[in-house]
Amino acid sequence: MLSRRRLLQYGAATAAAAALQPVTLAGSGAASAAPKRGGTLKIAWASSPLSIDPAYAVSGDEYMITAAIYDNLTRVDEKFVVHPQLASGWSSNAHGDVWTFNLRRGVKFHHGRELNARDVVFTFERILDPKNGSPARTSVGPIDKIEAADDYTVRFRLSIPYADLPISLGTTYARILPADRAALIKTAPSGTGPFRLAEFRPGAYTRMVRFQNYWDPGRPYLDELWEVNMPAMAAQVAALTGGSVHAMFEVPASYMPALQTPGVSVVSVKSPGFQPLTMNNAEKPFNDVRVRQALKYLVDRDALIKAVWQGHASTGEDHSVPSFSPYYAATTPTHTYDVAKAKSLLAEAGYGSGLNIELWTSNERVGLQELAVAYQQMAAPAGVKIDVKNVPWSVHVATVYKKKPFYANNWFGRASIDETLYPYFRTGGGFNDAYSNKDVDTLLDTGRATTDFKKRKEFYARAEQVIHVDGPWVVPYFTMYTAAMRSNVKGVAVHPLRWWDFREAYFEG
Amino acid sequence: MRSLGFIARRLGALAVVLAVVSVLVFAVVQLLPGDVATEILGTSATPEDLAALRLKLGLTRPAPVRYAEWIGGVVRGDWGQSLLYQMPVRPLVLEGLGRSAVLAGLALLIAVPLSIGLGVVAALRRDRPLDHAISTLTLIALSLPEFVWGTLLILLLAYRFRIFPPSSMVDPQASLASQAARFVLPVLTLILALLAQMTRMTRASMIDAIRQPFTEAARLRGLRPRRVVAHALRNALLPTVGIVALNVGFLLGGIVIVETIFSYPGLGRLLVDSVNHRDVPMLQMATLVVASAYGLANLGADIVYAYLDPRIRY
Repeated sequence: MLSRRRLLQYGAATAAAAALQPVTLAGSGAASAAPKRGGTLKIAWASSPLSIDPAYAVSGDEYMITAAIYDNLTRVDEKFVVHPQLASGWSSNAHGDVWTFNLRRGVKFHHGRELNARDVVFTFERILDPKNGSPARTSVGPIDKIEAADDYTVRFRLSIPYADLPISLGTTYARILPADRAALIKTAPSGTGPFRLAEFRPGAYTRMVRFQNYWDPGRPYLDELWEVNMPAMAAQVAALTGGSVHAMFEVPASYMPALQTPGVSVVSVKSPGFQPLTMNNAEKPFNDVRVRQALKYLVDRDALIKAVWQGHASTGEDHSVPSFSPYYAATTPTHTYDVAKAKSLLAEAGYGSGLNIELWTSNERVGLQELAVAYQQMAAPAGVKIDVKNVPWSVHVATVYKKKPFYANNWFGRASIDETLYPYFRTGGGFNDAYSNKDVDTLLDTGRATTDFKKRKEFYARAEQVIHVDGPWVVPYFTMYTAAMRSNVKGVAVHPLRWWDFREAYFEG
Repeated sequence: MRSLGFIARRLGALAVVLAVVSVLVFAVVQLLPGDVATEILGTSATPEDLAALRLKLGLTRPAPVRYAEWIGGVVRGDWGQSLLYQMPVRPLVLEGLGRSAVLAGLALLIAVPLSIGLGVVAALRRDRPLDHAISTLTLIALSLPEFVWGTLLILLLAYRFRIFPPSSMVDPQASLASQAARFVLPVLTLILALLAQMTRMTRASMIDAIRQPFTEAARLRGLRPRRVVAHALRNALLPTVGIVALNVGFLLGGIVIVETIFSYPGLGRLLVDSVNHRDVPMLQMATLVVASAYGLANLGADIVYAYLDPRIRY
């Protein structure tokens, strides 16, 4: 058995490595002053939530609502460290394919019943049933079977050893639902979370009120929590500076100067989100690794970060692991902007007289269109003539993604290292166009089954290096996530995955 | 009565138009790339997940079957289930319609008398400074699109000077006074968009009416100037009524932009959401409701025509 102690050591190693990550805490003063009870907090979103069913919720505004209504077994904090939530502790067998979670006792649902192991079983069986068509089915870990050992113990039997299960159980899909209210989840949800749903008005607002019997004593501090739908950024900025809302989910770079006013704090964190130029390496000319490398040398990364993101991004190394990840390792050679090198690689590959390619992009995701147009200019001196094709996002999803040989794409990134690499680069991975490399497959398969942090890191470092040189992606940068709050809002940590949690939120003064 | 028969005939024609509109909207939605399943599941969907969700939402059955089921339901009063919000379409659309009607009604209530007044004044002071001032101002109002006006008003009156709230989000807990303040900016934006057309139409037809022999005759018979103006106005209003009817249609569908800028949860917002997310039941009902409102407004205009001009008999 992997003991609790060993598990905690592993957790500590992750935490130590992750502590280097520069995360700004909005509620950094939380420790000094005692949190104050009361108040109504409103947060503005450009989009409107569509589904409050956690198994189908796919956008940030929906995540915020389900995080308030429900709890997970585990909580993944803003440094990607795992903490207990509804689970009081967990352990795995030595092989890493059977995991046992102990439940907290005396936890009440909003409708009064006490949480037990059957609710957890119900939640995961619902997600995993293919008939339900939940996008979560492939995202909660390789769960083969889940069973209730007793009222307060659940056991996950996995199809393969999987070290990242505690992180996967902390994702947005895996909120614990009540087994006795299956038909009411979409319309009258009841969770164990800190807030009860009071009103759900898509296109206008969602109002949530404090749950008196929350299991964590004293929390939440707020009386009410509102998600407010405001599509126009100018309206959001005016509402935040005027004080009629207290937080803005996302601040585009161009609006940051307007928020430099007293009473408002703008908070930026490095995110695992990235915008790759994706090549289908099963198709010409991208099947030649020299062409892929040439295209990687034609990116002026610093210039892109300045031009597309006004400096609010960090350099990418043509794979999906950001520099703040505990599993990040530097790769060689550095892909600096080098037209001569790109030209010679293209000539070797037989494209010395030039290359004509289409690059598909979308104007409906911030930065994507700018990225494609800037890259077009950067690649031109090497004889690479790029025809930029711009489509709406819904068309991109339906006809470009995984269908065109060369396109710009938008990913928000994931918390666990397995989900950061495996779906994109493993042969047959869910988000992989056509990339297949035996070394990468072996490294990723071994990595996901290894629980020892040091050994794991070595496997992933090697995978990053292979993908950096051989892989099908140009990853010019990782984006930053910028939000804004009234300065008196405390106890809210801006999460790199754009998850908002108001359990600890309170108004100062 | 002949006029009742006329109204019945026009209502029948309206029903035919709406049936055609429903078929057209359904057909157009089928041509769009992607469907509600790709919208819900996004880029992370596997083909199996997509297939399962399509089956669950009933998207795998042939389009004519789905259309027939839906239109049958509408006739029986069952407007179907929104695919995205997982709620019945009917309360969502009716609530949106009610809110849009309040916004559009307020805008019309102010813009119609205001623009008729401005048009009459401009006609009476023709080619004098006041006329030029009215023309210039209404043309400026017309020349800037609503999204520019809306953003300008927010930046000026909500961000810089904080006189009015930037959002007209309906808040059940707020006092009535603060609710009223929320309507100021969106209604003002709509008025600016409506003003020029109606003012200029009133001005032109008023100038025309003043020139007519009957106005001359009224003046020569010694009627007081105010009576003469009223006399001319009744004749000058006919084209303006047509414009107002057109504007009702514009207001109900076209306030999409204003509702988006000011976070106003009306029918326009529902339309945008349902188009973006391939929510066919919602999109069709919202479109049908807008088409009905447009048809009814034109019917209303015809009735007002008949009242203003007794010579018109259908």
